Amino acid sequence: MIAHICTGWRGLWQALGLAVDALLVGLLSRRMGEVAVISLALVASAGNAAFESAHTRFFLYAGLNLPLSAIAGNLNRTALSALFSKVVPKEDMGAALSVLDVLNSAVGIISPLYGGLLLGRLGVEYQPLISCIHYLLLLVAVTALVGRHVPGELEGKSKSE
Amino acid sequence: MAADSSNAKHINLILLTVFLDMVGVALVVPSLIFRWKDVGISTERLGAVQSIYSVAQLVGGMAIGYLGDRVLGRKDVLLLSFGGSAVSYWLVGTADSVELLVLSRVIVGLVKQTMTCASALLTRLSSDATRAQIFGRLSSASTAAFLAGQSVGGVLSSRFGRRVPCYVASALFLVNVVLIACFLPNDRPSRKPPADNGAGPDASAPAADSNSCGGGSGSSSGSAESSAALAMKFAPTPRPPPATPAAPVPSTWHSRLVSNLGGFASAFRGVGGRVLTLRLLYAFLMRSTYALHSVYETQRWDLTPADTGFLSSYKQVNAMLPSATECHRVPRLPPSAPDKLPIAPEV
Repeated sequence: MIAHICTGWRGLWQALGLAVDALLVGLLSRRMGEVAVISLALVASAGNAAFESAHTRFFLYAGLNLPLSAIAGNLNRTALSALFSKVVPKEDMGAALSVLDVLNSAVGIISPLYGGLLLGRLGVEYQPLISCIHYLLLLVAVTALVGRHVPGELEGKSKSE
Repeated sequence: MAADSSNAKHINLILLTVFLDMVGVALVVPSLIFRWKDVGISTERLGAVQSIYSVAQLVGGMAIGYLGDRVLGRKDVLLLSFGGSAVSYWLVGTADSVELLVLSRVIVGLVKQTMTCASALLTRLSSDATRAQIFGRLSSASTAAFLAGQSVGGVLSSRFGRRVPCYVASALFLVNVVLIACFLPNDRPSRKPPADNGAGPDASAPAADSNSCGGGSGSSSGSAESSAALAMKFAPTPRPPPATPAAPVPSTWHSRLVSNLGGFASAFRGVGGRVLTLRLLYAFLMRSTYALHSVYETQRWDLTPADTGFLSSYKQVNAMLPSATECHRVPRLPPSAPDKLPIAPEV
């Protein structure tokens, strides 16, 4: 069953990945700005996770939840990186990247502890609900941290200069 | 010309070992979660094991980097990496207790830096013009291996038992040990700094290939380039001397620490700092949410190892094609207009 699903959806899946990487991020960023793209992707991810926790069909999970989550994840990561490369001055980029690298390693150590504790206490079946809450938390963080602070002239325009 | 063909041979060898390496890792992925279940680990402890693995990776990354650059050379580090992985994955297959499985994760975290080493070697062997294309091939090879390996691992696990993919993976790592030992020239760093007297590479090169079983095969290709000259290509880049010694350097360890911490804190200032915080928060929440995703999937959807393998491959499919197409496009961009290049999405 799963093998059939995988084979059948493979072409569409590849096309989705390409479309997101090559077209969607650039297009949406130019039209809306990175912060809006990130917010939109987070709302979509939260909705997707909530829907995942509500249904019990594997077919929906493989055919809808996984592709949606991958697209939204791609959008988020790419838009965040693009925003980062725009707002950090060129002369500070090396230091900022090294700090990011070091702290990412720390995140890699702490986050499984937190995730394991959370899922161990609440139950693994609550994973989609937990991820929905995390996406909403990120949405609040985006609004608080960069929603009002990123200069408009930087967003979505530097590429055309 | 001869150097190019010899470089191409070594590049292909490295790509092959990376492919086999990733196949080995991917074979075990679908059955790993079931092996943890077999030994009866709780979700909390599984999270802790992943943290231990991350710590081991961090420590191993620093140690292997130092060993590769200063002590052993990259060939020996690759051998250590593949040999350690073979032991570790064999241990995953044989382990009957949580402690042994944790030990296997610690070993693999400490020694498995094959992608870093392979990238360093490929950087050395490739020219500026071909580097992006070769790294695109590296990325595609590893993605393809991971894609196929997980499905095959799932099938192997379902048909022959959960331990079998671990043994097959261990065997693949041993094949890599043989390939590297036989066909890659030695690059152990010389203790003595090379004399800069305009002599040719043979004058200062270490006695390469003296203990390599591939020495004969290297010369049998009819290449005019000596094995010592090849070893020079593999050797780590000597660090250039400081250009301006007049720059003020903090003298004591605590003044250096304060200076470093100051630089660390300054990265969090301004809009850049806020975006940096956001990226870290995103990484933290996503990793903690999805660190135990395989546990959730197997439990929620009642998956077998074969189902897990297919599902993991399905998730990987979209990663391969974009990287291959993007990297082929990069070298064709006009080199004369760097200011007009789009900002790189991921640095």
